[in-house]
Parts: sequence; C-alpha cells; structure tokens
Amino acid sequence: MTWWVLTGLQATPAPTSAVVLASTNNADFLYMAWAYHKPSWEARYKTVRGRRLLCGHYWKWDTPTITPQTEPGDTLTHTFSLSNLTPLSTIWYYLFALEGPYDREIQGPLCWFTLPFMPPGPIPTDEPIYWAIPGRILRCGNRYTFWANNTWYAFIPTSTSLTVWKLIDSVFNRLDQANEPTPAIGAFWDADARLDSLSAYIHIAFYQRSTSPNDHLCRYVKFALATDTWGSPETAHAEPYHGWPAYHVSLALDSNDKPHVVFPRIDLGFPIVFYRNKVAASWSAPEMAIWSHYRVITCDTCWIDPTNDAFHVCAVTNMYLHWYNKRPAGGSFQATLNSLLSGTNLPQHSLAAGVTIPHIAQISQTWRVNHWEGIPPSTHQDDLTLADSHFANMISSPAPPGEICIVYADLNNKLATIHRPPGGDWGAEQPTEYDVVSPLTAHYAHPDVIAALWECGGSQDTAFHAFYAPWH
Amino acid sequence: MAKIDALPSLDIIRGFKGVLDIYLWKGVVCVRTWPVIPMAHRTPASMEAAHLFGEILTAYGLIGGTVKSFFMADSKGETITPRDLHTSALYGHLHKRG
Repeated sequence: MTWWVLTGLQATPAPTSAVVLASTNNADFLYMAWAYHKPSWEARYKTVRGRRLLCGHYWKWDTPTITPQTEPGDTLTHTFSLSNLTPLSTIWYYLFALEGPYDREIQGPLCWFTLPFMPPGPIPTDEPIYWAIPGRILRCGNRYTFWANNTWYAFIPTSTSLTVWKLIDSVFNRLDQANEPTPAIGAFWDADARLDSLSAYIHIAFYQRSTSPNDHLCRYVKFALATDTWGSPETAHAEPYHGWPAYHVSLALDSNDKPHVVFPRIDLGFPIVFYRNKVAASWSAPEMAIWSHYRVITCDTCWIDPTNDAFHVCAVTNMYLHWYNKRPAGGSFQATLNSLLSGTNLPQHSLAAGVTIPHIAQISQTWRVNHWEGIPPSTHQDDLTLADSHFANMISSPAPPGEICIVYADLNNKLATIHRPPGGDWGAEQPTEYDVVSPLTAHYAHPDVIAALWECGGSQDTAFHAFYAPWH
Repeated sequence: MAKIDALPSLDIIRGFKGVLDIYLWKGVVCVRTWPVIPMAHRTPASMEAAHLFGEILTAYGLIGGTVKSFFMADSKGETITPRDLHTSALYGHLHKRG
C-alpha cells in the first residue's frame, strides 16, 4: 500500500506548452489527468442509519487526458510535459497514482494554470536566402538573427564594420551604412548581439583590436529598430586583452534589458574571463568570472536566466576543459567550476546553451554532451553517434524548458539538426539539402522557430534560413 | 437496546451521538447505548487502518504551500475543510472519471 502527499508543485506554462514539476514525500509513479474545462463539483451521498447523508463532494471528469510522468519508475520528483496546447486557455488538472490505500487511486487536489498570450510568431522562410556581404563573417555567436517589425534582421560583424540587414521583399537590405561602426585603427575581431524584450534595439558588444596591444577596446552599441539606425558606440572596457590569440566578447541582457558582457583578458599575466555590466550610464567595475588556472581561454559565452536574472558564463580553454560560473542577480560570482570533460579533439568547437540550466557540449569523434545542472554540477553525459562537425550551435528553447537542439553542418556539409526533448533522449539526426561550408550560427527566434545564418561559397557568401523546430 | 415508534429527526440522532445510537434494524427503529470497542478487541486490520488514518492526517503538515492553496480554493464556500479534502484525495474520493 503506497501513499504520498504533494510536498511541492510548480507549473511553468508557455503559450503552447507547459511543464509541471511535483514532489512527493514517498516515491510513486504519478499520472496527470487534465482538461481544458473545469470538472463539475458534484455531491456524494451515502446512507447512514437509514438516512441519505451528504458526505462530501467529488470532481466529476468526463474526458480528461491522462499523461504519465516523464521519469521512469517510482520517483520522488515527477515531471509532466504537455505540448501543442491552446494559448490563453486554462488547464485544469490533478495528479494521481493508480494504487493507493485500499486499492483505490490516490489523488491530489484540483489544480489549474493559464497559458500566456502568444504574440504573432516569426514567419519561416521556404528556402534559404542568399546574398553577398562586404567581408567575411567573424566568429559566429548564437544570436545574429532577429525577428522584429514583422520581418527578419541579420546582424553580421565584419573586420571593417558592423552591419545590420533587413529582409524586405525576400531581399536582405543593408541598413544605415553611412553610420556603421568602423574601427578608427586596427580591425574588429568579434561581436555578439541580442534583441531586447521590446524588440526596440539590437544590443551589440564588439571587440575592437588595435594595432597597439594597449589600445584594445571592448565596446557596446545599440541599433534602433524603430528607425533602422545606428547609435553611438561606447567603451565598456579598455585594454581587455593582449598577448593571447583570442579576442572574444559575449553579451547578455537582463530582464530590464541592461547589457552584461564578459571578455577574456590578461590580469597579472594570467588569462581570466572578466565581467562588467551597465549600471545607469556607466559600467560596473570588472569582476573575475572565470579563473582558468593558467590555461589559455579560447572561447566564452554567457546568458541570463530570465526567471531570476542569474548570469551564467562558460568558457573553453586550450587544455580541453570547459569552465562554468554563475552570478546571482545582485550577488557575486562563485568558485569557477570545470566540467571534468577532457578530450583530445577540437576544444574550441564547444557548444553552450541554456536558459535556466547550462548545457555544455564538446565535439570530438562523436558528440559528447555534458549537462551542468545547478551547483555543484550534475555531470550527465551523452555520447551521440553523430558525424564530426566543425560548425555547430547548441541552442535551448525557452518553451518548453529543457528542450535543447544542436544545429550543425554534417560531414557532407549539409545543414542538420538533432534535438532532445525535456527529460527525454536525443532524437535522430535530421539533415537537410542545404549546403553549409563555413561557420554557422543559429538561435530560437521563437519557441518553435529556429533561425540560422551561415557563410557559403561563391559570389553570394551568406545564407539565412528560418525553419520550424523539430517538435513544431 | 429498545424499540421506538419512529425514527427521529437527524438533528436529534446527531444530538445523542456518543451517548445513544439510533438506527434501523430490519425496518425496526432501535436505540441502544453508544457502542464502545475496547482496544483489546480491535482486529489487526482495524488497527492498521487507524494507524494509516493517523499518518494521513499528520501528513497534511507536509503539503507544500501551492498545493495547500488549491485545497483551500476547493473548500471555499463549502462545509468541508481543506483537511477534509486532503483526506478524501488520499483515499481516492476527490476525483471521479467517466
């Protein structure tokens, strides 16, 4: 005879999906009965001492959908993932197990949540759109395409200028070319960009490499989408880096659309990833985000958890290690963690994604995916029997939470995807017919739309394609 | 035990609860002193059921705040308490399908 009570319950609704997390004091396998309408509340009678007595009520369900928990076997935590839901509707549900005391179901209370409004989503493109750009794309990050003003924008940094392109009548047009940020001396080396929550600005952090090591700059600029014009760049950090072959910068926006940047630099002769964020009109003092134990940092990336504004940063070093750290909103960085993932191949081709949970992957002869979940890290590893690839992005969808996808170029230089549903296993490789011959970038433009940008050969050297996510 | 002419009202039956037990037996209205079962006479099954019932009542304190708020919402405006609903749910008497 098994019985339990719900010690915790949390529903995370998205426009068309929801995840319900429950915890119980005793282990059991739970089911969720749910419907779009509230069940009727009916009286229950029994005859006592010859009298028909009201002895309570029960919720009478006619056609509920029964969804089992995603975890196998009897567990203390229980996850229920619902998809293809109707936005703005209310879901009524209760949790139950088949055999409780006296061989009856054991049940939870009637619960409910309402799905949020889903704004008009981006429109995928039927085919890739190809066009020529004035120079090679620099490092491809993971946020270079955006859906705003009912069309697509592409941010493409080149060594000589930062460019923003807008899709008008199936053609990408270069915007405000006269005011594009250009380096006074030296060249641009790297850039990262995000769209803010109001789709008002593309926020861009970029690395300006000078001819003099002491004049390197980490800079920040906004591109206004209302007028399609550039703002004035400002310096987030001076002399961020010299003496090491990497000039990266990564950007994230918090819930107030304030920028946070990380950049590797040398401090007292050691490579360190530093962090600064914009407070009012100035930038905060540099904080050490990742201490890589004297190893050369080759790549870094960052993101902010929208639910609590916690800042996440990870980096790769030339000793085949991944590093991760977290800074709670208003708090300080904790001790840097490394992934314990050591390999022999291509540490620079490391992937990172996450919204609330960091996901780190490494490309080797097979894909090795390592998930960091909280602190201390839970080292959950999957070895995927995929072809090697030099160009890949791992991205995570905000809805449903925990959904992750890798967009990459396969050995045949074709655009391909592979995804893993929350709590599930990695699906099959899904190649396309589209050629990808150079760095590729991708992100979720919407919970179920992925936008990808890559460099390709020939006179038209850039390609953009937006397509529905595998679970659409 | 004694026979009486007619079944009294439910308020009267409840008024004597714990003192007199008024009930029907083969259509005959009877009244007797309230039955008392000594502990020593309880069966193992009865003892186990009582023990489980006690644990279930105590477990109400383990319920999370969100869950408790749903029980409270269900019992609002009803004669039952959130704890009653909790007990009904654990015994499978809160939801009925079909």
